[in-house]
Order: sequence, then structure tokens, then C-alpha cells
Amino acid sequence: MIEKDDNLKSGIAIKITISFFIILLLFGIVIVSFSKIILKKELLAGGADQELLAETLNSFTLFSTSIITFVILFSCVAAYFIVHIINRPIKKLEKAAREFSNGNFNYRINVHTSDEWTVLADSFNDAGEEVKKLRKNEKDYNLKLENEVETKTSELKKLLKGVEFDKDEMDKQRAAILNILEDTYDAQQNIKDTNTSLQNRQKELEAIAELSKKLSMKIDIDGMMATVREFVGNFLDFNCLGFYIFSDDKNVKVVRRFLNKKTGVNVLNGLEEIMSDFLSQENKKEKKEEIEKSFKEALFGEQKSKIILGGNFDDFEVRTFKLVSGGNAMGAFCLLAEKNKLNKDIDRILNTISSAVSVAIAGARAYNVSERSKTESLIYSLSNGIIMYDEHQKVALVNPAASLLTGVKPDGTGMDAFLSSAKVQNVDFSYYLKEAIKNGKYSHVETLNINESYFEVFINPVTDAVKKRFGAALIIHDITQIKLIDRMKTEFVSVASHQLRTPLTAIKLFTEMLIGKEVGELNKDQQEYLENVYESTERMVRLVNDLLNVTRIESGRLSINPEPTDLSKFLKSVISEANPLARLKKIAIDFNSKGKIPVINLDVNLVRQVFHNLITNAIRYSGQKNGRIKISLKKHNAKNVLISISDNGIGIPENVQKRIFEKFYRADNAVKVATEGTGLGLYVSKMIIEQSDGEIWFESKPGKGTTFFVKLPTKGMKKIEGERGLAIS
Amino acid sequence: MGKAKVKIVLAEDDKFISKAYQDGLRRGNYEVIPAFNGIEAVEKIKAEKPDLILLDIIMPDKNGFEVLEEIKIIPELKNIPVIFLSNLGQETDIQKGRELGAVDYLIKSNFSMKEVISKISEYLK
Repeated sequence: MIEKDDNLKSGIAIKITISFFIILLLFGIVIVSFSKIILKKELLAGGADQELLAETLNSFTLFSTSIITFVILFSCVAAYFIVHIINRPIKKLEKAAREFSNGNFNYRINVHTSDEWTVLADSFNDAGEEVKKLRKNEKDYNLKLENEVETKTSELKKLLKGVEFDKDEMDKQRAAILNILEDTYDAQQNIKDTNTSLQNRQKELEAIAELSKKLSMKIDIDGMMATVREFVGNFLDFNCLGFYIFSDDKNVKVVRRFLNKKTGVNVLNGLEEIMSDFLSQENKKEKKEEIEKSFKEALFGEQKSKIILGGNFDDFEVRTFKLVSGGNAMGAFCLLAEKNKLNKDIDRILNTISSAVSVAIAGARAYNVSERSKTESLIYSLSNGIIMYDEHQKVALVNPAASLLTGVKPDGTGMDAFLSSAKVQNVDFSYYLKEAIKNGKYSHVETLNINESYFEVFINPVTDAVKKRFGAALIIHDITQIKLIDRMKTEFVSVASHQLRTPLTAIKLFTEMLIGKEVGELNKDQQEYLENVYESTERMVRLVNDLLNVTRIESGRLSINPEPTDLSKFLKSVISEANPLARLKKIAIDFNSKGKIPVINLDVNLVRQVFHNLITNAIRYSGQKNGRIKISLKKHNAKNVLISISDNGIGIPENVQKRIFEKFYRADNAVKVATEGTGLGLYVSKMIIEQSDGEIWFESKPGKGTTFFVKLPTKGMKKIEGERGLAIS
Repeated sequence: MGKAKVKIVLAEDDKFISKAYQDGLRRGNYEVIPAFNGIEAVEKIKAEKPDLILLDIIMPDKNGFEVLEEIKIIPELKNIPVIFLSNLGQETDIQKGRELGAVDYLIKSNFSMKEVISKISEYLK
């Protein structure tokens, strides 16, 4: 470091000197050159010649150069020395700094001059002093700290000594705590296990409750067994599961086998025998395990298990469960599974299941019994006769009403007699019953007359709750009363028609003869009065006829006797019948037939009634005199013909148009014009046309006229063997 | 002596109607022999051997159908034209009437005297 400083120091002086030298040199050169130039100029201006010029210049150059050189040298040396002197205090400062950096803060700078260097030196000295002081302070402080630390440390050591750990004691305590923790942990685990097993139990119970619920919803044994099988399959991978259950009457046993895994042969063959043995053995109170063992052996023996189940005899176990309710054995179920799949929990569940199943079966039985007794009571109390057949067409049930009506006894005797008396009337019950049992067909016999009694009989198939058909039933409805009433009604109608018509006839005849002046002359008034009487009588006659017709039509027993009819001819004849009335009212009737009209089977009487009514209406309601009625007949399409009757009369007001075909309805404007209408004509006409599969409708404008349309099917009317024809009017 | 009048037996139990027809027919120059029940009708027909019979159906003792059945067996009577005059208008009754051999079936209340007389003259031709 020292050397560096020296170089530095020397370096500065030399650097400055050299710089100074260069500057001055350059400066000198510039001045000389400049001076030369000026001199040259002056000389030339003074008229000096070349030689003189050159000489002058040379001596000037020499002179000036020497001077300049001298000045430069002198300046450099002076400069060097000046710098050196200036450097001296810097050297001193430098030494001091060196000392400081070496850690010697005692060195002081001695400066004798009293200038700026003094200030700097003093500052340096002061700084040194300060640092020295600081260092001392620091040392003192450190010492103090050390003492403190030592004191504290010794104090702590004392303290520590006091609170000295008995390591052994601590270890013992740790061990104790650990034990407690372990025990706590064990207890916790136990609780967890208990919790888990409780949860499992709860799940089991829930599952079993669910199973019980499902079982309670089944009332058939099959359904129950399937449910149990499903349930067991959910938690146990069993090999086979077999049920053996007595039916209600203990005569039939229901046996069901379910296989879970594929086996070559149904190992529960012979289950029935084994199960019944099992049940009888249990009565002898042998131990369950022994029974199960013998069961297992009985089921498949040592060799079979290898072949059939692919395992060793000892790998499998049998579990048997009795189904008991109220002390009565209803059956049992047994289960075959691999030993390693069974455990205490599963056994417990299976036991619970067997109780649930027992309860369910007992419940279902009780329900069936109660339902059956409800149903039986119902059937026995019906007023309709019911004869039920089973699927083998044997009589299964005859209720008292049936016995009464048909003479068939509850055990079925008398059935053949009944069937043959029906056969005589072309009613083949055997056929209907067969159809019902085999094909589920419903049949209906409207009337059957046996020994002056009338029956309506329905033949229905009978199905049970699971939609299995297990027979058919004859439901016999006594309609003798109804028939009687109907007959009475018919007789009443007959009597009424006769009784009403008789006096009407007499009145008509006598009045007619009076009007005809056959028994004497009449004055104008007498004539008029008698004519009124006659007209009123005619009205009554028509009313009686209409009422009779309505009754007959409504009873649905209208007879229809179609015969091939030439509609054109027919309509012409109806028109000619109405001509007298038309002439009276001065109405003209035009008839027009378009195209070839096929011959149609029609009941002439009925159809005549319709058109007579329509034409008469047209005449009656042609308000003005000189009205015109247009009747047309044409083919409507391939299936129908269309007849229209048009008048230019009073028309039918819009607000009553929908009531025109109503029984007894007459529009006000019609009543005004022709008081004698009964309001039945269109009703009867509509019934007749509709019973013939035809259509009747109208179009009308009040004040302008009405057109009635009748559409008749070309296929014609069907013959109906009714009891009544229409009252012809 | 004029031509013998046409004899008609009128079997009708209602006295008014019987009177009306009797008067009407007599004015039409027919001889009318009334009968008021079925048995009387058969008797009168046997006794009078009429040219035409007007036969009501509902009558005491014997109804019109029965009367017709009876006389149809008798050879000398079976060809007499019989017109049923009744207030029963059933198709079945009409059918029965025709089957038994009546030439026509008229519902009394629907036919005026004139119409009946014209029908009679038709069947007497």
C-alpha cells in the first residue's frame, strides 16, 4: 500500500509536469509560427528581399525557438518543484490515513503551516481522536457486556441447578400418559366398533323391516319367496335356497327352489321329502345342527359335492329355518352356502328373516281368509245369480240367487238341465264358457226364457289378482219383472190405441156424414161448426198415432221389414197422397228425379211416414198461397241417395233451428200458421231415418223457405224382427 | 123387383161406430147386417152368407181373427172378401190379418166413410 501511494504521489507530479510541458510546447510552436508569419508579412511589406527574408526568418526561428525551449524547461522544472512541495502535506495526510487503516488511531499529523492544510490536518487528527475514543468505548462496552453475560449465565446455571429435571420421574410420567392414551384409544376403537356394529344392526333391521314391508305387500306365496330370495341374495352368495310351504288346506305343498350359482344339477331334488322329514324331526326336538348335518348328507353326499358344486363336502354348510306362526308350522326354508361365506351375523339375519316370512305368510293367509269371506259373503248375498266355473269347466260356485233362478244346486247338480233348456233357445252356454276360460271373451245373452222366467245372462272370464285367468262366471239377471212391465206397457199402448181410437172413429164418421148433408141440410154456421169439429177430431187421431209411434220407436222394438223399393215410384205415390191437401192450400208440387236411382231395400211403411211428414210440413208451412214445393231425388255418391224437399214458405227461425227435431217442439211461427201440428212428426221421422243408418237435416231462411234433406244408404235398411210396426196415420 | 142389394155383415162391438157404418153403408145402397160380438158374427155370416164382411178385431166372446179362422174352414164362406176394420195398427196384426186371408186391413180412425165405401166397391168387383 505504501508503495502504491508513493507511485501515486510521484505519479501526480510527473503527470502534471508532462502535461505542462506539452501544453507549453504546443503553445510555443503556435507563437513561433504565428510570429514568423507576421514577421514575414512585415518584412515583405517593408520590401525586404528573399535572402534577407530567409535570413531574418532563420535567425528569428532560432532565437524564438531557443527562448521558447528555455522557458519550457524552466517552467517544467519549476512546475515539478511546486508540485512536490504541495505534495508534502498530502504525504503526511497519506501516512496518517495509512496508520488509521492499520488500526493505529494514535498517530497525529504535525503541520507547521497555518493554512488550509492545517484545517484538514486538524480534522484528520480530530477524527483519529474520535475513533480512538469510540474504540475505547466499544471495548469498555464489550467488556461490560461480557461481565453481564457471565453474571447472568452463572445466575441461570444456579437456577437450572435448582430446577433440575429428574429424568427418570419424567419418563415414568410419560409412560403413564402413554398408557392412558393407549387405553383411551382402545376404548375409542371399541366404541367405534360397537358403533359400527350397531349401525350394521340398524341397517340389518332396516333391511329386514323393508323386507317385511315387501312381504306384507305380497299376498301370494310365490311373490313372497321371490322377495326373500332377492333379499338373501343381496348379502349372501348362497348356492341354493329352497322353500317348502304348506298351502292353506295343508293338502298341497308349495315348493320353490332358487339357485344362485350355476350347478350342474339341482341339488335340492327331493327337497320335499327332506323338508317334511325335517319338519317332523324338529318336532322330536333333535338338535338343529344334527338335523342340518343329516340334511346336508341327504342333499348331496360327499361325492356329489365335488362334481356338482366343485368343492369339498366340508366346504359347504346347510342352514335350515322353520316357519312357524301361532305354534303352527307353515313350512321351512333351507339354504346351502360355502362355509366361509357364512358367519354369526348372517345366521342372525337369516333367523330374523324366517320370523319375518312366517309373520308375512300368516298375515297373507289371514288376509286371504278375510277377503275370501268378505267376497264370499258378498257373492252369497247378491240378488244376481252367479255360477262360477273353474278352468276345467267344472262348477266351482253357485250362489243362492243362482240356485233360486236356475234350479242349479250349490254342488253343481242341475247345471246340465239348465244348459240344455238354454240350448233349446239357441243359447249355447258351454261355448260361451269355453270362450271365456280360454280366450277371455265376454259374452251377453239378452233374453233367455226358462219356465216363464226371463233372464239376461252375462258370461265373463274370471281372473285373480295376478291376472291369471282361472275360470268363468255366469251372471244371471232376472228380467222377468222388466219383461212384464214392458209387456204391460205394450198392452197399455195397444189398449190405449184401441180405446182412444174407438170414440174418435165414431165422432169422425158421424161428423163426416153430417157435413156431407147425408141426414139433412145445414145452414152456413152449422156447416162451419161441424167442419171445425171434424178438423179437431182429425187432429186427435193424428196425435194418437204419433204418440203410439213414439212409444214404439222409443222402446227400441220397432220392427223393420225392408223390401226392394223403387224410390222414384214410391215418392210419386207419397206425393199423390198429399196432393189433395196441396190443392186445398193451392200449393204446387214438382218432382224431379235425376239419373239412375238404384233399387233400395226399404221398409215402405216407415219411409212413407217420413216423407208424408216432410211433404205435409212443406205444404202446411208454405205461408202464402201459390207456393211451390220442389222435391228432388238423386244419387248422392256411391253409397247414398239424396232426397230433398224444398218449399218457399215461412222458414225456420235461426234461434230455434236446433230444436226442430225435438219431441213435441213446434216453432212459434209454425204454430201461428198451422195450429194442428203435434210436434212429433220430425222427431219420429228423424228416429226412423237414423235407425236406417241414414241422415236427415235441413237448411232454412226465415221468410224465404226451407229445404229438408234425407240421405239414405244404398245398402238399404236391415230387417229387424221387432214387435211393433208404426201406427199408420 | 130391383137387383138384390149387396149384403154386408158388419161385425163391430162399439154401438156408435156400428150405427155410423150402418147408416153410411145403407145410404150407399148396401144392406147391412150388424153383429156385436164374435159369436154373433159367425152366426150371422153363416146365416146370411153376405157378399162382403167388415170385421173388427177386438170384440167380446171371439175376436176378429178367430171369426175369420172359423169361416175360412167353411167352404161356402171362405171366399167371401173380408176387410178388417180395426183400430189396432200393428204391423203384426196386419200381417196376421193377411195371412188369415183378409183382402184388406183398414184402420178405422184413418179412413173416412167415403174411403171405406170406395174400398168396399173395389173388392166387390
